[in-house]
Amino acid sequence: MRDSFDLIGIVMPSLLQGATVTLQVAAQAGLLGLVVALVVGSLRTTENRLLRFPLTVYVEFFRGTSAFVQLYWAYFALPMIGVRLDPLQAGILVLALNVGAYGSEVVRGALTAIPRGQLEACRALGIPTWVAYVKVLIPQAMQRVVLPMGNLAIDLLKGTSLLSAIAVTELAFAARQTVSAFGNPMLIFGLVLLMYLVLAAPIAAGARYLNDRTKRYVA
Amino acid sequence: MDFDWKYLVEVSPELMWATLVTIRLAVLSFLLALVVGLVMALASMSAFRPLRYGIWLLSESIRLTPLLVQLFFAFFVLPEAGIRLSAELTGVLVIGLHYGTYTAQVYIAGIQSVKRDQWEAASALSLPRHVTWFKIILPQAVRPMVPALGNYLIQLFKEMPLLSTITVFELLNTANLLASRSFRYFELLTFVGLVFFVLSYSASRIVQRLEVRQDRLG
Repeated sequence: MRDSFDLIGIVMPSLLQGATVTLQVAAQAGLLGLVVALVVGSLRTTENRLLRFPLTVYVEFFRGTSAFVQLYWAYFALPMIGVRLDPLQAGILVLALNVGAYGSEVVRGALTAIPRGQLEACRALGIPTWVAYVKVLIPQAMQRVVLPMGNLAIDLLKGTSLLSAIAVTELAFAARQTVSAFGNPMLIFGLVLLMYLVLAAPIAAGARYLNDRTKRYVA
Repeated sequence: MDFDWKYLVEVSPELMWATLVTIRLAVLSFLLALVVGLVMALASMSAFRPLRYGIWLLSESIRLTPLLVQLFFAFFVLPEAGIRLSAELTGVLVIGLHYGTYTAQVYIAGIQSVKRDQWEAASALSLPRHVTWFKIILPQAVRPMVPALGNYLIQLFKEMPLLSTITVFELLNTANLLASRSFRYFELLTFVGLVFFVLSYSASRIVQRLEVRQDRLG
């Protein structure tokens, strides 16, 4: 028991260091992915087929292949055609494009789910279009977006662990390193799983809370 | 750089074999997930509160932590506990348990989708419990479950490359091994991506068709 406490004290700094990298990667990929999701998701609701087709290919391609394979492709295959990314860049880019593809489907779904009548009713009442969007349409879309986006954020956080395979020193990588240095995989991997849980649980709780809060906006 | 098709044809027997290994492991994991999910769903509908709470805690913890780290945990900890399993079996167990938490939710949602009055009508007719379950409730509950389970099968299939990190020679790991000899990373990894795309995209089209048909049936 005593030994376990000592070991926790020894490995904790490098695990916390790893957790910081995990959060940084998740935040950067998340922001980039959110922009991609909003842009791609709304553009795919337009009538322009020429615009829609390449975006559909992007979304289906990223959803249809495995994130881990995409990561390997970006890091090991791309240099063969002259595109060199460092592990962190490749990781953030792949995670962002991946979560962006899934997120765009959420955005698109939310936008197409609002009945046209809502906007027409606002027009009939003489409400300016931008007010209609801000006060009527977007709040209703929010309700449909909150839970799936929360799930995507959790998937993204968990997905950062894939970067350990290309030697990004995030939490899962730090875990493997400390296990190979100090042994005791049960304690260290258990601790690391608990750390991921501590990071992810607030996102899940927050999404549930926001979901309840936005329910009242739905007609 | 030109795409070396000849090389891909040369190694196609290995790649084909690895694809079959990947599919086989995915199917085994999914079958396990179907059973685990059933047990979890039944346990979380039990009247015994601590059991319900325990199952909730277990499935939340499994779902909120990375599958990759769970694989590491099982792969390194089980042998220490004296349980020696092959890497493949360890992977199947971990992925089956992980996805069992998802299939459990599908089962529960399916049963809850059956309207209350179906239960009431069954009890008004004083049908025995097993008749109510097997002839009234389950036939109606299973239909919406099928596309949801299909989607999880596709998602599970795309997780199989994670098994490469615990030394299983599925498709990605096989491609890596071949590439480390020939240095044909671009050809091999593009091929791996295409295999995953073709299989999961066509499977998701089938699931979509099931969903549409269900909407029509109402």
